[in-house]
Parts: sequence; C-alpha cells; structure tokens
Amino acid sequence: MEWYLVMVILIGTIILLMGMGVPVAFAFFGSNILGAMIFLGGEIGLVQVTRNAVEAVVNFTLAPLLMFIVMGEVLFHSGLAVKCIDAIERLFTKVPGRLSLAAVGGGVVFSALSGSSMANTAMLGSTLIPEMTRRGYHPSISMGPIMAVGGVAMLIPPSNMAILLGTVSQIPISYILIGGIIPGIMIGLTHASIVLVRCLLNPKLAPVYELPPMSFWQRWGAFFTYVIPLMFLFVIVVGSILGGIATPTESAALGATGAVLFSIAYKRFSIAMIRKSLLGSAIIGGMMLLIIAGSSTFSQVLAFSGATQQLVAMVSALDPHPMTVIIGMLVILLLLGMIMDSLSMILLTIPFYMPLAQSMGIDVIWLGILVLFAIEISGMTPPFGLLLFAMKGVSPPGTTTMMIYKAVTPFVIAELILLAIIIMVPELATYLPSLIQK
Amino acid sequence: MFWALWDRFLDSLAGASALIIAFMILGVTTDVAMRFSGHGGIPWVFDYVEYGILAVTSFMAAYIMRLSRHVEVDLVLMVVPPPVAKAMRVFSGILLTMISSVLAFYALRATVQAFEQGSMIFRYVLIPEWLPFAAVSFMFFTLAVEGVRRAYLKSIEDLSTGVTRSDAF
Repeated sequence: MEWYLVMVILIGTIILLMGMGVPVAFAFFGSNILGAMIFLGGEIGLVQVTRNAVEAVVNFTLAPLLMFIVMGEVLFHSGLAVKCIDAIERLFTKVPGRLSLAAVGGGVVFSALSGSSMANTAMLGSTLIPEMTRRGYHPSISMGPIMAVGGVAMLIPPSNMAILLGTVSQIPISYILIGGIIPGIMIGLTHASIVLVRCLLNPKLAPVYELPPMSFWQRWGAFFTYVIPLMFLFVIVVGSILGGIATPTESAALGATGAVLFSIAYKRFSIAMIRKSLLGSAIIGGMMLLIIAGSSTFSQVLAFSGATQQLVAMVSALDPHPMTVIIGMLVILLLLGMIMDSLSMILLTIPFYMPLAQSMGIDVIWLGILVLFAIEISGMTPPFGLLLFAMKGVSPPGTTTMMIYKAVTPFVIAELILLAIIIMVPELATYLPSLIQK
Repeated sequence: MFWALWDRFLDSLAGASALIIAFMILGVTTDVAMRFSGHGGIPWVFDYVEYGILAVTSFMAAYIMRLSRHVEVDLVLMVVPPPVAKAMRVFSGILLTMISSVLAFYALRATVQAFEQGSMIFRYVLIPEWLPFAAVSFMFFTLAVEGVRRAYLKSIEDLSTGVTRSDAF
C-alpha cells in the first residue's frame, strides 16, 4: 500500500477518534487495532498489540519520568516551590516590572525543580497574578511572561517531555536533558529583557510602588534559605548526569529522595503531603505511560506497512537541503500544536522524523532540542496552545481570551527568533551533550 | 452498590500504585548509596522498577479515567452545538469500551498462551511470562468497565448544568 494511504488510514483514525473526544491513548489504541488487522496479520497482530503495550512500558528508561514527577509534586505540595518564588520576588525591589521579572526568575527556577510546563504556568499564575492585578499591572505584562516562561520546563532538566522524546526517539535521555539547558536559559534571559524594556518604555504597564524598607537579611534571607539549597537539588540531578556518575533514572531517584529530605529539613513533611504527591505523580505518570503504551504499536505498524521507508525514500529522492527538511518538520509541529497536546505531537511525528533525520545525516540531538523548542512555542501559540488554557484557569475574573492572546504574542515572536538562532547555531544545543559524549 | 465497591477497588489500586512508586525511588536510591559505599548494589531493583512501571500503568488507567484525567482534545466538542457534543461524548465512551474490550480479550489470549507454554522471562528474578500479559488484560478490562460508566454518565448529563458522578450513582 502507498505510504500516503497508510498515513490517511492510521493518522486519519487517530485524528478522527481524538476529534470525537476519545482520549489520546485510546485514539492510538484504536488506530493500532485497525493497523493490526490490515498490516500485522489480523488476530496475530492484535495479540502483538498487547505484547507491544507490555514491552513499551516495561522499560527502565521510563523510570525517570515517574521519579521527576514525584520530585516536582513534593516540592509543590510541601509549599517549598511557592517559598522559592516569594524569595525571588523579594530580590527585585526598584526595577520596573518587578513582579513580572520575579515570574520569569521563579519560572526558570521552578522549571529546574519540576519538569512540567502546565504545573509551572498554573503555579506561577495562581501565586503571582492576584498580586499583579492588585498592583495594577497590565495583563500583557502580568500574564504574558508567566505563559512564556511556563514552557521553559519543557527544555530545562528534569523535563518530562525530554525523557519521553528520548524514549521514543532512542536518543540517549541524558543528551536531550542536558542539551536543553542553554536554550532554556536563553528563553529566561530573553523574556526578562522583554519585560524590562517594555516597562522602561511604558511605565504604565507595571506601576512602580513603594515597598516597605527591608534589611539585607529580610531581602536575601529567604533566597539563601530556600533557593540556594533547593538549587543544590538541581545540581545533584544535572551534575550526576553531566559527570557520568549516575544514569538519568538514578539521578531522578536521588532528586526525588532529595526533595523529600528537603521537605523534612524545612519541617514541611507530612503523611498527607507525601500521599498527595505520590498519588498526583501516579495520576500524571499513569496517564503518560498509557499514551506511550498506545503509541508503541503505532510506530511498529508504520514500519511494517513500509510507510516510513517509502516516505524517507521519497524525501531523499527529492534531495532537499537538510535545513529545508528541518524547517518543514518544525513548521508541522508549530501547526500541530494549535490542535494537539505536546505528548501526542511527539508520539505522532517522531516515528517519521527520526528515520528521515538519520537518512539525511542531521544531528539527532540538535533535532531533538529543536523539536522540544518548537513544541514549547506551539503550547503558547494562539489560538489553542494548552498553556493559554492553563492561564485562563488561573487568571482573574473578567480576563478575556483575546487579552491572553495579546499578552503572549510578543513572547511567541521572541521565542521564534530564538528558535531561528538555535537553527543557525546548533552548538547552543549540542555543546553540553558533547561534553558527556567525550 | 456495585459502583461504590468499584470505586473503593479503584481507590485501593491507586494507593498501591503510589506505594509502588515510593518503593521504586527508595530502591534505586538505596542501590546507588550501597554501590557508592562499596557494599555492592541491589541487583533486583532494575527488575522491580521495570515491572513496577507496568503495574502503575495497569492499576492507574481506570482510576485516571474515572477522574477524567486522560488527555483529550476537546477542540471539536467545544465548537459543535451542545446536543451534538453530548452525542459525541456518549459515542466516545462506547468506542472506548469497544477498544478496551477487544484489547482485554487479546491480552487474555496472550496470557493463556504464555501460561500453557509455561514460558518464563529470564531476568535477575524469574518472572512467568503470563503475569505481565495478565496485568495488561486486567487494565483493559477495568477500562472497559469505566468506558461503560463514562458513556452512561454522558448520556444522562444535563446539557445546562451537568451532573456529578455521585448524582448518577
């Protein structure tokens, strides 16, 4: 069967089922049943679908996914994450747009502790938006930076999506995790600059207000008490991977254990907190694992049908410049992000992207980071980016969807420019992974 | 009565999953600590983590469905008229039940085949091959049951107000 017919059948089924409101995991399973009947020999294929589901999740490389989620949940439910954001807010006193800058700083710090874009956006929004509204911040400078920096969690370790991408694409997870650090920091710095420049040009966006006088310790105490020690957790996680001391699973376990130890040290440990964190992790992790189980056979059916090979052969025959192929891949992701969640995007596109990239000699680590970056942008791109909905959920009453769109647009443009820079300078994504490769 | 018991059953599975995750973290951390302190590692931790992931996936699937926390793309449902959206939601519950039932059946077949053959998975710990397949069959069975509930709840949902699970059962 021609590759485009295979794609119409398999991808068409997934999109049709998703459109009808069938959860993503079951849309994949539905397509797998159809694919097994057509391409894998009927009943034998259906038994194979269930075997694949087992093989997909009985996978040690997926363990960091669960463990990093626990780490973020413990820091969130123990209240330590909010303490960090409060501490960072105190550092900004006389700068214009101090709360927005605190959002960017807090967002980058929490990204390094959580790994979830949605959690990042929701927590920053619920913590800082009420105060920003009370202080008369314009929505474009209050909601915009929060949505923009929320997505940094997708790039900075311990990113859930980086682990998933590594698992699906067979790129070593540690390379993807480490490769996201420089682009993640670039995003943080860019968004902070945008806030600062806009507030300097138009002070009405973020009215300056007098803060009660603070002693040195009142201002810096919380930072030294909470942020610096918790950053030590990030250093353990990233340092152990970068130094080749621990595998991603081991560093994730150390991170999760460290988060629990910190909650004990700060007297914020309770059985209720740990139960809530573990159950929350089981819910998020279980949801992601079921989608992974569903998507595993999808890749196999594609390979069996010959669609992947035909597509690769067709593109190779056209002999396009690798840059054209990369830009094409990223544009597809940016468009898909308007209607699809990041998990589904990775699982749907990577089975095509990786063989294509390998056949054209494209650096897969670089491509992996670009894919994550594009997905991160698509998550906040109007009209349907998921982070926009997360923000709507925590924004004050009276906030319209259009206000959210306007708020995020300058940051989307800035990130598109950053994406272009990383396309032009691949070393920004590949330098740190190259240190481990050596 | 059945649904109250069923909910308790799913709650207990979720509790078991949370414990499995806790022991995964504890196990790997202990393994690392022992290796670094020169006491050797815990060789079975690797197997425990891998099959623990399968257990968490199998135990949590229906619980997550009950909470409506499986990722859905509700773009079309938001733009169609409410009666059409309601019909689509009911149909999605029926589809979900059908998909889960088919896979529960074939996973059960894989379980029986592996059991009859007496095949084993050779890891540090010997694991009968039928056990993981049974877990997957169990998962799809519980999902099929939740699919029925989902379709029923959506069918009686008041378009203007909506009803909660406790209203229905």
